[in-house]
Amino acid sequence: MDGVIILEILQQLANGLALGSAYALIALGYTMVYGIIQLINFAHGEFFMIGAYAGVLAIKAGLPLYAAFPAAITAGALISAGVEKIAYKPLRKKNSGRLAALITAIGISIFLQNVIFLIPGADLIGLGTKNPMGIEKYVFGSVEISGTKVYIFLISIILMIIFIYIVHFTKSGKAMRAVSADRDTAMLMGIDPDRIISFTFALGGALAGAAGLLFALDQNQVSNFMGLMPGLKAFIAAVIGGIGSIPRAMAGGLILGLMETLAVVLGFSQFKDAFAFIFLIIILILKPAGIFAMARKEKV
Amino acid sequence: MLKLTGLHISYGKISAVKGIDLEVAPGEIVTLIGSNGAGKTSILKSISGIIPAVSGSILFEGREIKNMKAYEVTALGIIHVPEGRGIFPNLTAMENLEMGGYLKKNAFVRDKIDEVFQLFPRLKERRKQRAGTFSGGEQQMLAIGRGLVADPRMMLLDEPSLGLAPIIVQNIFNIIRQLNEEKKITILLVEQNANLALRVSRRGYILETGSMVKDGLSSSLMNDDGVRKAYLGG
Ligand SMILES: Nc1ncnc2c1ncn2[C@@H]1O[C@H](COP(=O)(O)OP(=O)(O)OP(=O)(O)O)[C@@H](O)[C@H]1O
Ligand SMILES: [Mg+2]
Repeated sequence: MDGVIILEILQQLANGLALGSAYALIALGYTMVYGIIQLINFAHGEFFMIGAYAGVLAIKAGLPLYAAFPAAITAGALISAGVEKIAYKPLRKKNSGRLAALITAIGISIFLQNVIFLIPGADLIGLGTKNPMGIEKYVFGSVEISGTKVYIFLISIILMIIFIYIVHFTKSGKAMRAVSADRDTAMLMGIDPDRIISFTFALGGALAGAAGLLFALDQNQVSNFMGLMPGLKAFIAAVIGGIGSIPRAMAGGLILGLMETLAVVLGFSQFKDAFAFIFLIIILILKPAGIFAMARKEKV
Repeated sequence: MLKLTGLHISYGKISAVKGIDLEVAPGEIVTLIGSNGAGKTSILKSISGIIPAVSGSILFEGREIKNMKAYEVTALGIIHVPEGRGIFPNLTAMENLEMGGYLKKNAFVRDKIDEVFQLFPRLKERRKQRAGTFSGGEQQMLAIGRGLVADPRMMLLDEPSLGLAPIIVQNIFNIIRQLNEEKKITILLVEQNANLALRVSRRGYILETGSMVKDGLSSSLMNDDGVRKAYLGG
């Protein structure tokens, strides 16, 4: 095969994996929150957006990249746990039901998209030449592979490894899985479910915040609506994987990213968003419990 | 040690437990017997704080615990092993045991888990396996073992014999007696298997549709005509 074609494929693969791993980071938050309180948290995309703002503002303020990431992660975690405490927890205490929580989530989402305007010029903040990732490209003859894409993929993978470590090997991570499986019995162990639910939101928000900054570095800008599409796509990723499961949310994210890139390669770039939704509809019709669904349903 | 007075529990408008009294002295095994839907599980759940009691009082060592949260009750040393075991199927056996020691220090939990493995060697062999793959008997051992990691002073056991083969049931009952005698754990045992429960316990209570109908020494309950007819097969 022609070397150029191979590189072209490599480049698209890098694009697809970068996009997909970022979706996977966001999807993890959806799936964990669903696993623990059975809520589709439609405000999750906004945690991503707020993380992106925090990171970008940090960079614009002159902080280095290794400080911008903690800023994005902290902002994502705080806003996520904060929204849970202020909006979802009171509903849970009153047993208001799923619909009320879902509508609240949408309300929070719209609120956050707009409240960000309190930052001057917040509808669009560009990084310009301040982007610490913007310039690097690996050039192979006529093909360039963007260094940013490679970094996005690598950083996402590292974050996912840390995340899996937390979920499987720390006390809070184990408690999170226990609360997801059976909240009443978890309480009998001495676990305060409210604390674990806060922890879950913080963890999901942290990943979303990091993903937000990765997106912002890739796009070289932030905007208040930037969480909308990636949020929906990650939701789709979580659903096609079968919501509630961590490994499947990651797989769902990667599959969606690769599919979307494939759509672009095939010349349907205007339709790439539609692709994701068509894919979702097909999956929901053929395999409503997700592509990896097996006979027994499992959580987290 | 534990004293329930006038305990009333309801689900919406349906009242499941209608003002019962029950007492467990330190070091005792007390059994609570009743048929399906009598309200046994509801009583245990309200002691451990999973469901609220409408009225009445729950004293543990003289202290009112009726309005405490479940995780606060656990911290007092009352460990409820729920009906149907309530193991976490998605966690390994080891992780289940670790959750039992959620409120304790790591080193303490490690020692306790070693003790549990001595009691149930089978759990040690299978510690890395997901608990959801365990047989009913293994799950019951895990549920009791998990309770022990919390170093309980009192255990509430909800139908530990449910769905198990007779030989395993016998084994579980031996363990219950051993926990009481050697580890000095006070036990409130809920059972439908009245025969075994009365043999292992010192005293018993008979619950029918939310009301206590009889109580007394297990030896005398075993010889009571009414109890024999209703719960011991004549
Ligand atoms: N969550 C609930 N909502 C409504 N009613 C309930 C609920 N849980 C129990 N009940 C009712 O309360 C009554 C007592 O139930 P409980 O589970 O305490 O009985 P039990 O003695 O433990 O029965 P079993 O031997 O079958 O376990 C029953 O009539 C039951 O239908
Ligand atoms: Mg019961």
